Amino acid sequence: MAETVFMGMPKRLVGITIDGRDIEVTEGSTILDACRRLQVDTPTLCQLENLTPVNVCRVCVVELEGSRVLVPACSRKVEAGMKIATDSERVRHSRRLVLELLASSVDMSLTSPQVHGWMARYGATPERFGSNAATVAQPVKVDNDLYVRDYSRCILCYKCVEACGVDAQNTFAIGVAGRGFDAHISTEFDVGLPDSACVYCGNCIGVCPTGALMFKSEHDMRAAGTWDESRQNVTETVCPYCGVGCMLELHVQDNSIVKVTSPLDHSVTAGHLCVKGRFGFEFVQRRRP
Amino acid sequence: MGTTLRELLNGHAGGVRPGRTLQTVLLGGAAGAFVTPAQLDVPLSFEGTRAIGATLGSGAVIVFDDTADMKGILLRIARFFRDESCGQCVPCRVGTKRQEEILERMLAAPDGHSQADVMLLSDIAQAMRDASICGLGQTAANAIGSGLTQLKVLNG
Repeated sequence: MAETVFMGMPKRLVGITIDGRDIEVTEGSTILDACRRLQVDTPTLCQLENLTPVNVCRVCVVELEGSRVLVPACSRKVEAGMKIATDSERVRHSRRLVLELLASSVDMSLTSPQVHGWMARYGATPERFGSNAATVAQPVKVDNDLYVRDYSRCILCYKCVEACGVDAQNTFAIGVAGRGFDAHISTEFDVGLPDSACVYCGNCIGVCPTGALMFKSEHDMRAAGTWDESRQNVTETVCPYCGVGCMLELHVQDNSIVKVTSPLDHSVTAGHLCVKGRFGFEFVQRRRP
Repeated sequence: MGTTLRELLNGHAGGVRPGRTLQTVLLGGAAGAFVTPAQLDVPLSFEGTRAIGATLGSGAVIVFDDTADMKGILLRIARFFRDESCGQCVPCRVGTKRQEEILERMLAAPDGHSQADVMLLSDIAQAMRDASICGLGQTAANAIGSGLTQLKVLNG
């Protein structure tokens, strides 16, 4: 006789209205989930499927009828009867300003083409704050052989902190130090990575949306002008080290592995790896002199 | 509740010092609004202050006589919010910094401020009000905006 399979508690459907369109989504969903169901393209920077929403970037804000302020779509749960506008004047204004404020203070050149698309869509012109506007520009931190930290590209999305903490690694090597415009990602007492609690899992690199955290191999190749994604192939394989079965994506350029990632939606890794899977690939390409 | 600001200042607090005149009152603290001498009959109630675009806010009543340097006060308020921003959300973290930069530029301009800077300040103010996480960012532009319209601090 077949075993009873527990399917989870039944979930109620909640009806809301987005831009005049009615939709029913399961209780506990976020406004962002509902927007995506309706294929309403909603900009996000600090949101990622495998991390807890922190709603700090505020680029996903939407207008909720009856609310004094705009609400973040990424973390606000749906409630029955909500009436939401995703493209009102107020929403477009705040999204534009968030993108302008970020791009005027941070080097966003290595963010995804999607981000540049949103900047065009909302008419963001970061130059309008003037050439003297303060930035977070600073030298790249290169203090180990595996990855570099370029905080002049950091938008403080907190993703690396979450991946290093309870959302994945539970190592807590990094956190946010300082306050206001001086807030920044730091190790304990700002020590270099080799002296910190870092275990070099590289999960912070995996979630970084701006290129602030980068494989040293990629950083060096970019500096030498040899990094060329059009010449790279991605080979999927399973990590050979232990029995967990993490799926690896080997990014290969000119027959050399230059970067290792794992798919966010993979059931084993949820995008996260350990130091062996992430960085232990040198033996594959050890060549006799 | 309901006592007028004039009664509070002149009756209960003794008024401005002899030989000085009242310049303005900052009602509601650093996130409040400036009230001009012409508006002193406002009743100190939620409805009364709201009717003139001010607020009771924290309940603070800060009185400035004609010797006060209001440019310095406005810059001080902008710096206060830049300092107090915790840095978590973008509108407040970068907005309070930009607000300070632009205000400095506007107040220092010898031949009058540029209209583009007025627009920038009001754009930043709206985004901070609408999209900041907490009340600090949501109100960080209140006194600056109110000061620039109520007080004669700009050149030209």
